[in-house]
Amino acid sequence: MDLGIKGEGALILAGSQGLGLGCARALLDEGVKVLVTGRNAETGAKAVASLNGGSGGGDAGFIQGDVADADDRARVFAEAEKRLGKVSILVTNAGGPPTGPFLEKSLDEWRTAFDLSLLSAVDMARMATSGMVERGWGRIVNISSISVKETTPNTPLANGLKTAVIGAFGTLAREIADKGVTVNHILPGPFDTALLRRVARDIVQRPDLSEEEAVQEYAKHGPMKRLGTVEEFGSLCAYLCSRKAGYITAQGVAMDGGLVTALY
Amino acid sequence: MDLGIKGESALVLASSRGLGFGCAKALSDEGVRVVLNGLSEENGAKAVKAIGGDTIFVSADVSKAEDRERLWDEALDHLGEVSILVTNAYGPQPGPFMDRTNEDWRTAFEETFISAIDMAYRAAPPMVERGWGRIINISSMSAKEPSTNTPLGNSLKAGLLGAFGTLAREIAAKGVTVNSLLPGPFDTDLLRPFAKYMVNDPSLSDDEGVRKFAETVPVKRLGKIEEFGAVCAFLCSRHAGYVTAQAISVDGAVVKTML
Repeated sequence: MDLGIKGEGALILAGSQGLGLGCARALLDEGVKVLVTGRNAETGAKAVASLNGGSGGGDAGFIQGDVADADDRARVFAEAEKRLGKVSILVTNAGGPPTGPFLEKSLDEWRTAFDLSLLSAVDMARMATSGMVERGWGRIVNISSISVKETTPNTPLANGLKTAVIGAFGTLAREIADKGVTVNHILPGPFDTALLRRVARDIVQRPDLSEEEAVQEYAKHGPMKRLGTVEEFGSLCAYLCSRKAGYITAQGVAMDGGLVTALY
Repeated sequence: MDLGIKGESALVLASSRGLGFGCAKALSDEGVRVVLNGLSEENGAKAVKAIGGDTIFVSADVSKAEDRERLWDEALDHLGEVSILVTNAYGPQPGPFMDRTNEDWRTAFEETFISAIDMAYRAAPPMVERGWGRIINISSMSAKEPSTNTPLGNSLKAGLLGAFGTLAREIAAKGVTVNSLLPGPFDTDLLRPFAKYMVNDPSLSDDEGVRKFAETVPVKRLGKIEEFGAVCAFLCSRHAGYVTAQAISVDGAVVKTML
């Protein structure tokens, strides 16, 4: 299927590893110019090498920056526009906030999570949207979590603030729905990523397990009994960014192997 | 129906008028002792008079940490314990997503989100210790279907459902329930200036906006504060102990989502 997005310019936040990198790979395969961001230069260099096939022949790039930091966001966006010509595809994403019970979180942890999980997405979307609306085409895909649909234990910060992004982007999506710009969410369940390894013990509420055991335990919660792959995730992201997906907006699509049991 | 909560003690935030007042009045009618809160002493005095009994009003801005602390201390002084907490806050300012600044978002976060969870942090541990408690969060139907031109409220009230959904399950086995009410259009002072934005016609007067908005409600009228208070009192009752982590729309069927 030709997705019709060859030559578009994509900025993928926190895209140097995991699901963000999966999105970058899939978009790159469709002929999209891709820039990924991340906090760590070494991880970024590895991501670029893997995206460009290790030969240095591709033109995927990396911008170092912390999406939780307002100055970094402004700098990252300006540089992305310069290097891509235009940002017509934005994938918002951020590392997960710390886990742990609701009753053990301080107000300052909530404030930090607000900057990381909500404001990062809102601010970048606002920067990117103006140009998309002007040009009459754009795609925003927010990497969320199934925990916005069914609360996961021990991840109150993410449960709260990732849900807040859904409300914020639901409003934005409808403001610009007739301008050729769509805003959607992918709600990942258990995927084979470093982030999942970090939080799996908390989610399955089994501190006695090793990270790897906890990840496998979480995978067993779902009817498919396996983790998703970042390639699968990237393909949905690329599809939502495609010309074909222009009538889909303000949606949150779970990609979780059937783990969430809510009917919709 | 005897709700079985006579003698319980409720702190109701932002309750000198509107939906918060409706909750306070309904709880008081069931024999619950009530502490009211708001910004205006004048409105507070009126509310205290309307409810009667040993009700008191504490003037405090729940968006400010020091005010929350003082409010909590005064409520405890008066009530001895808080076994029912109703979280509520005035709605953040309306206007398009694209016109909101990072600062607007930060302010709304403190007012709408932090205010509620901070009070829940104070209230929940003693409820758990006692083995009984009720937390009701006054949210909005916009947490379920985002309203036009209220991105701050749409986002942060939805976020609170995620936060309180997590809390609810952490303490579900301790006799404490945490639920949210999602009001639609009610006849409150708060709604009047917002209605014209909800019908996407800011040029209307407040009255015209309210009338036009009421036409969009399947029941063709605004809800009454007393109707809202009744749901709140029921969720606070002994009978509602198996209902937790729910978000219940009270909206005259405005929201069309099936679940």
